[in-house]
Amino acid sequence: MNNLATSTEPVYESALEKYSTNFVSDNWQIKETKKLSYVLIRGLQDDERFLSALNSLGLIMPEPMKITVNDNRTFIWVSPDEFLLVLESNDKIEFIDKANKAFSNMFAYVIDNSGSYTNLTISGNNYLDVMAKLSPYDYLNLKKHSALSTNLAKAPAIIFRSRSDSITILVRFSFADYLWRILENASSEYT
Amino acid sequence: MSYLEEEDYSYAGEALIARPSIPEEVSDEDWGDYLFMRKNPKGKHIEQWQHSSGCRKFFVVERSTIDNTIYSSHKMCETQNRLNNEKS
Amino acid sequence: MRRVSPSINSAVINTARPIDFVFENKKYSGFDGDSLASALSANGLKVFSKSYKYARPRGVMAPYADEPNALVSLEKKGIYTPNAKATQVELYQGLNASAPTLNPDLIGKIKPLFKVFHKFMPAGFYYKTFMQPKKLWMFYERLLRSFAGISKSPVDLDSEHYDHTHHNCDVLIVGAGIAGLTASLELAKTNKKILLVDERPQLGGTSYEYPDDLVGETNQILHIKNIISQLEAHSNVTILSRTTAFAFHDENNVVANELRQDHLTPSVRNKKISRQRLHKIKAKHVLLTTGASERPIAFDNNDLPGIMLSSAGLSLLNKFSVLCGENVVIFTNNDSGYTTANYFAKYADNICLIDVRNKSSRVALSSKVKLYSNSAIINANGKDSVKSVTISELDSSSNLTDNRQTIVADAVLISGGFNPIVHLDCHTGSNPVWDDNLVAFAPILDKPCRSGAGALTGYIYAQDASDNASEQANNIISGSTTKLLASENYLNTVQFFNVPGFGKKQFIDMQNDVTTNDIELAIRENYKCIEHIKRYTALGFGTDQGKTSNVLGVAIAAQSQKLKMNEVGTTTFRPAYTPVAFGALAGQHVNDLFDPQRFTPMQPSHVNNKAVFETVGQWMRPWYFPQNGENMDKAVLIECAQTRNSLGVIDASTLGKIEIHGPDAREFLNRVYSNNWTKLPVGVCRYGLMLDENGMIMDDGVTACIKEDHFVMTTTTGGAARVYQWLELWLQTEWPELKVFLSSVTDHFSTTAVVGPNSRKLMESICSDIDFSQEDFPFMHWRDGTVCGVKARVMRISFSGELAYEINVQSNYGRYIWDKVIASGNKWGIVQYGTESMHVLRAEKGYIIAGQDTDGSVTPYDADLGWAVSKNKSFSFLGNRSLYRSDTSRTDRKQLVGILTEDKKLVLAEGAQMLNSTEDNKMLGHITSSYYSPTLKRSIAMGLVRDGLNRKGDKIVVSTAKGDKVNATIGSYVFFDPKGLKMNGNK
Repeated sequence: MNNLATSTEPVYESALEKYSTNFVSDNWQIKETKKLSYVLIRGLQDDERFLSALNSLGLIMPEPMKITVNDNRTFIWVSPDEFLLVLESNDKIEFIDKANKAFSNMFAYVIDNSGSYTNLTISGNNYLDVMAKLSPYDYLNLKKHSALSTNLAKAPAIIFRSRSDSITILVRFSFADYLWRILENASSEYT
Repeated sequence: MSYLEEEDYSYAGEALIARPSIPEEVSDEDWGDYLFMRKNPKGKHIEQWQHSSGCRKFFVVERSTIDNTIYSSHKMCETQNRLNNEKS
Repeated sequence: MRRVSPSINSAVINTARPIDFVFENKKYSGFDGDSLASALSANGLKVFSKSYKYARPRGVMAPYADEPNALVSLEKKGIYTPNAKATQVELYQGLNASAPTLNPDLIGKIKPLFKVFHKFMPAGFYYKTFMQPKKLWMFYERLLRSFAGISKSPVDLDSEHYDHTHHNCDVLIVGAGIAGLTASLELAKTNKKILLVDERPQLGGTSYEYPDDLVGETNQILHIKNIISQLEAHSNVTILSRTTAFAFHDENNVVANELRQDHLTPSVRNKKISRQRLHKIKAKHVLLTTGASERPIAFDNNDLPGIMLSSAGLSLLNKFSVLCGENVVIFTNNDSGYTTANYFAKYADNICLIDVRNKSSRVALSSKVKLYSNSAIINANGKDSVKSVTISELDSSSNLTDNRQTIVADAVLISGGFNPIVHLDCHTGSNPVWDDNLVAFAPILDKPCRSGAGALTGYIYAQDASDNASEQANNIISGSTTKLLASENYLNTVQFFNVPGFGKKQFIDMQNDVTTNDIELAIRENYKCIEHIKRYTALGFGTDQGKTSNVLGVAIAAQSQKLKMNEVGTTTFRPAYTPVAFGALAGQHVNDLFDPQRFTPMQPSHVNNKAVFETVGQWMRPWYFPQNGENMDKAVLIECAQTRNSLGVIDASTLGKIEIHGPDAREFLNRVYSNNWTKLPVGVCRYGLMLDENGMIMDDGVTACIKEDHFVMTTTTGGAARVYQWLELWLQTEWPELKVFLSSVTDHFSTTAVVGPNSRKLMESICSDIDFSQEDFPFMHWRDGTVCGVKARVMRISFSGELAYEINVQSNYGRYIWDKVIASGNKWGIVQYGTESMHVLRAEKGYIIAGQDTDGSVTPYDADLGWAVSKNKSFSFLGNRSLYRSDTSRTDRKQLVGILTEDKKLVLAEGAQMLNSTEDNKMLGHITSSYYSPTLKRSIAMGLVRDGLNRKGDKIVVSTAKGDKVNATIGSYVFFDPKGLKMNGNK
């Protein structure tokens, strides 16, 4: 891969930069969505003040193991006191600023975790067969707007469904290459 | 338990062991008990688990050490309330 | 033996598709659908092996997975498969098999001589004979090893690939015989998700062996074919054939192995598809319909080729159209012997039925069969195969009389009763119980959401199995339970396991040559418990796992001790039910995919820059950067020298990073670290030492104060996950009142560490909004700014003892920053360095590595880090109390010191033991870290020595692996720049 020193502008790379991460076939489709921002929000799900702070930021707290989606933002329940917001990169700085103000004087915090995740969406006739090779969870019964954190093969991942016919995987940056190769291995019999 | 639980959860030892509130006043022997001595029953065991691949919360489980039957599970705060009630 | 016309109903061979194959270098021909055993039998082969101890000729004995004798090696090299049972091998075009014991090597040729010493080689022979003298054990072991086993172990890498998958279903049905199929169809009509697995290629189980058995008016083969076609129309039913459920774990977790391509000629196997697939199944309910397998009756010389279980003979006949003999003798203690005789009456010339019972059977016997009631076979005669048998009449107590005769026989079929295949039910910890209706060990099936049906629970005949399966299927649907075991002895079986008191060669376990005498000997020698008998005699140890021998062994043990079957009991059943390839267990987790290889964002640049990598936990970290093919030692010399003289750069992204937020963050740090955090100001970092409750060093790292309620903690690379869990454990279980959030950001930040006297100059050249002057940016401070246009947090910390800055940016810009730093640093001759140089540089400065210089038994005082233990904290921090125990206050504890060898060129081995002198071999401790120091131009080492801190200046010796003793002196472990002038650097 290229030496980035020659660039005059900062170069953004994903963990899967060396691969072509957009593959389409009837049985298997995988697409990486790059350049999103990931912001961790910490706060107690039963804390009224925290809830209204979220509302003031345009966020609806999801039920446990669910996501809420609006305005191009996906808000994911991770734990009773941890939520992950997926949003466009351009909005991140403004959002974090607003959130810091909204959360001042309360036990709630916003943390930029944008470098941590690689975003892969999978679909196609056999995408559930591929998932079945990687994880014991019953993905057939993962309903739309549901989410879970688990391991895919041996990579920690957050998995959610925005649409009924596909699944989105957020895998940690340092595990992305491994998961990509596992997915290639698992999907090869269908492509 | 299933493959999902085996892979996503971590065992975290016997539950209901409170750290002595003033360790300096505890004898070496009692401190050693706190550090090392465990009930190790054949049968029902009350123990801690963490959903390490998920929400990372610790919780309390009653499990059989003979055949892994899970009898009950409780949130950590329920257990702490119970402990505090027992103390008072 | 010969092929007969195939029965239209039950034959699975296709005579329109012949197959050529090779066995023992000879060419043979068979048919599509044949097993290797049936094809070879059709070609007249009777002797498949020579036994383990006595090299006795052996032939096919069982119908399928129970086969103890006909073991073959398949193919060669990357597709070699050892110890396959010929009865399970599906014939494919070009198959190449060998029988390893038929043409043995030199050692194997000696074995038959042992026949002479048979008397002196009873069970326990190996335990008693090859024990003394002890120093010859290695020779004995090699000798025994060459006798042991059947096929040779593979030496080539498996060239095929495997995978795993997971299932979540409502009902798992194990076994697709008449019961399993009936239950599946019943359940399919609900909307439950059904998974049906069977080890065989065709569904229907043993229906093929007894095709005329009726369900209603229809023979069972037609009946099951009808069920199968109906099942295939149900989308909620998944059927896996060639899939053996081999392990049953707690709470309905079952593991099964599917042979997806073993039945195909290797050259036509689809390389994109796994050869075998492991299915990990979680079922809400498990219905076991695994059937029952036949057991023999033992008599003298019962191991001659041609003597087999009646179900083996029926399998050959009804499934593969192979008639195993013209003069067939059937020996039975139950009604199925009559059924068998009736099948053979259609084809063989002479059939004799020897029944130990007195009463007449409920099954009508063909008039072609000559019946001998109240009789038993006492001896078989023949050299390489059976030629005749001697039978004796029995008296009313089942003892032999003198009324004997000899009958010509070229095939002997034994039916000693049926053992329910209980294994899976027993994997979860129960033992089966002897049942007098089944006259067998029956499954307990007492775990919740588990049941059984069919022959497993004593319903042998097709109609009964079908009715019972329907009932149990409906129980699953309705949630009710009915009695599981049959209440009738359907086959009128009597307990007759061996011929009493005649013959010394009544073989119980064929694979290990265990006879009834061996079991009786074990008991006389006081090995009475069945588990001891198993191990003393090797009963059940072979690849057949005692399927045809275990129950007989129990019976002999019971008879011998005048106990009931239940009083002896069975040995423990453990997975796997039948052998499973290692490849299947590994699945896709092999080679590069065995464990995650974790990479930092800089990885592509490291590859471009010729880094050699080492594995640190799951991470692939650059180890060193040879630029001109130099070896590691040379590269490290260059890297260290240039870094201390000018400028170096290292990728430190792998360290764990935890964000700590909350009003109680500071208090939390005070509780988990040994040092004091109360006064750490915003903008400043501090080294933190973490102890476990036992007072031992468990991890360390630098923690920065970002805001009053916000800290960022770093951990060691290897300790990140463990520390995170540790911190959460205390926060949640012990201190829930503390308002603290812990969030992992290890992957969010990448870290480029710029190191050396010119590091400040480099930073000034790439970052204009931070003042890097000593006054404005002292050591152990951090600043936010912009580096090469990227938002960054720069921390001035040092693991090398040099002036250094760590640039933390969002991972996606990490490589960009790295490349920019190198490009900008070229003017100062910047070198990239990896973990090896990092280790050397820190060792020169005496910085410990938790996990290398400490091993969980080292306190801060042991490591001479007492300065990091605060005495002023109000809360008794983790580990504090343990530092005042009598054990941690001892004066002879091992303490961390520096070790300098007399020979400056000699680099000690890490782990080497230290002694006072060559005469005194009391071990004082060991070397923990050892390197050649480019800076000091001599070797340096750190080690743990008893009372080391009081022994500085003492001379000791260090023992090397070769046995040499090397002179060295104890001193401080800070070898370079003890005042830390360079990293506090003013310039």
